[in-house]
Amino acid sequence: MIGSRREAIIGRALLILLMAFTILPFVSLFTTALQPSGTYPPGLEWPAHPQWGNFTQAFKAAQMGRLLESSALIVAGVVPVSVLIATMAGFAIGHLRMPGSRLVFLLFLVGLTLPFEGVITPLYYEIQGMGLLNTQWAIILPLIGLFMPFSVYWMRAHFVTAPAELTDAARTDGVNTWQLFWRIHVPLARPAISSLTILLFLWTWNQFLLAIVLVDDPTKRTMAGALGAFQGQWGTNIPLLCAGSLIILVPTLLVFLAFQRHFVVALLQGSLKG
Amino acid sequence: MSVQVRARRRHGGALVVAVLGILAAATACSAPGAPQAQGTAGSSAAPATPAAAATSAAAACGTAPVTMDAYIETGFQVPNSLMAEFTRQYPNVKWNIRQDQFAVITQNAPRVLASDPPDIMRLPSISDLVKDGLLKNLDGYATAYGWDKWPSSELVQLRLGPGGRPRGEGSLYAMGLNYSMTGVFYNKKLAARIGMTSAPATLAGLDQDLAKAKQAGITPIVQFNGGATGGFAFPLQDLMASYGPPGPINDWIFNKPGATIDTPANLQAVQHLTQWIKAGYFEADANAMDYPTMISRFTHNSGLFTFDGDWESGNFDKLMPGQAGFFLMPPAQAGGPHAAMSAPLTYGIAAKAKHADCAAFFLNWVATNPVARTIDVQVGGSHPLGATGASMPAIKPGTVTAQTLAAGSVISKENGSMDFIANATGAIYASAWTPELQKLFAGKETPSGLLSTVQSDYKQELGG
Repeated sequence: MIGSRREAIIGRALLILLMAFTILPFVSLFTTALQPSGTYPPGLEWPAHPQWGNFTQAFKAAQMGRLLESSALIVAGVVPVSVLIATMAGFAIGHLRMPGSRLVFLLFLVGLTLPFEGVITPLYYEIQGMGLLNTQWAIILPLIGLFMPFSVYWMRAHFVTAPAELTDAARTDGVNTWQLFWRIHVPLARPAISSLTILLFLWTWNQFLLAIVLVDDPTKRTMAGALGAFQGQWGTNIPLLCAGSLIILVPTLLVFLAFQRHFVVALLQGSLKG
Repeated sequence: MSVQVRARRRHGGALVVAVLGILAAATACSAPGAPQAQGTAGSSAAPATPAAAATSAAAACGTAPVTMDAYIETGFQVPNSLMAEFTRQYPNVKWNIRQDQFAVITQNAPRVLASDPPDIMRLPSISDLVKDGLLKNLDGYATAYGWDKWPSSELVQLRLGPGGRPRGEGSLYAMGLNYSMTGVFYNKKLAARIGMTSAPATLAGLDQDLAKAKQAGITPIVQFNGGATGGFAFPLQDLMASYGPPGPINDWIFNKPGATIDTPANLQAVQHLTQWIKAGYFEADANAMDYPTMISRFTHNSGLFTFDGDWESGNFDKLMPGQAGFFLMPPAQAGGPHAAMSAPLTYGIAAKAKHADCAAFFLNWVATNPVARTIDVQVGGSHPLGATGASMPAIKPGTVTAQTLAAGSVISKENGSMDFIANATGAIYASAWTPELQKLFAGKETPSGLLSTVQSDYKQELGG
């Protein structure tokens, strides 16, 4: 009893310490964001005159309204399609095991080792050939393709562990393959699907490389590029940069909160089944 | 918070490095596919030569509505203000402005100039762009507008030989919106405490002030030397210019055949810097200090001197009004000539630009129109380009901006401008200067070892 109480106290203390450790950079990001624009604040300190206007100023200076729109469009183009295709492919490779599924899986694994940087030059010419340079399609289409290896791998990992008995039972009840996928296995895969959605959302949201190479108009890129507005060749407007970072962070936080329950379930699922 | 920002920056740096590789590949691929561009710029005999009449606005920009494509950097207000003022004066000219981080412009420059050519664009180092025939040869405009009558040091860095090498002679391939200049800033409050009433006239005088500050318990020099950019290159090059003439340093930066950095005068300069290091004139964490930290400390009165450029003048006037002073690096001999690192804020016209004549007219207008020159100084804090006697806006006396502007005239008169030793080759700053200067500060490199390492890296890069 005493031992377990001591354990509880130590555990809580450790948790609080870790939380403080995680939250501290955000606190300093926040206090710095409130310093007068254009100054170089010395460190963590609450400003004498908090400049709440910095957030509006950062939003305007980086044209975040237009970037938000563009980012949302790109995310809407990439994430649902990727998740749908990856779920179907993962089901086929992991559960149905169609002929040649091992070879297909191996090909995706090879794709997993391919860095974005390695394919960007051919991508540029391909997109140019399709006449899609400087449009959001130039980011959406390659991203769907580039996300496939990981997404398929992720969904396969889920479907591989789905019990075969369930399928046998369903087959006995007379379902066809489509119903088996859509009615039985997709609902069971919801934790895996929502964590994949969060990951793909974050990666799309933070995509910078494809955006700067394939799209010349900065307002048609992703939010990740917005922070550039505060960095000149020499000087960096640090308070506005911090304010901008916080603004950019908000949508990702909202998406995470929305999917968090599923995400945690997915994490726990792994630990329980292991 | 600085941890957060630094982490972000490091991340950005990694990305930039990645993109660099990619784009190097991209340009290599595009070279054979762009014979057209090569044809126009490669034949230096056929630059756009506007007739004398084309130097009027009506001839260059027309009277019908026209939209100019501009590709400029973020975080810097001067070009936006200039373009707005230009439209006010010439209402038929509108601007389509695209803004990117300077690092992104650096990586994207060849691709954008080749596939989506802007009329006017902020440029990084131009040698490779000229080699690939992506920039318009401006010789014709220079003659027509009389840019060739300006002090030659203003535009010398933007002249290139055929094929992009050497720099410093040949045809003009870019222009400046203004030029920036470096020297020594000092904190007047701390200067008063050590009895420093005027700027030192010789290097020995500067040494005395440094020693006095050290004795009084004041950090003599706040200078960043951390990360990927060794800021000790600023005091080092100033010391080089103190011991020797700027000519040979420029020859080295411009890649003239046979040029070397490993000279007796430069060795004295590195030895002098080593003495400063040994005397404890820098902060102990200089090798871990980044640029914003340096500015933060200097503006919070924690050091007497900092070696920096006039792009910070406006900032200092705002953050520490009346407290910042500026002087050019004093020569080793009393009465000797001054020299300073100085570079034009480089803008160019794409070889395939649609409105090249109007862009050239705009560049000339920036250097000659009194309102434009005022914007240059008041918004940018830097010295406008142009003929020696051109109008200068009135600046509040006592500001550090007034002092840097006055220093600019001295350098112009004494023809003492140098390019930055970090710009000698594409990689010399990151691969040689920065690590060597960091080792020097840590006491792990000798002055002669530093110069010979940099020189051998330089040769390797030019040979490769």
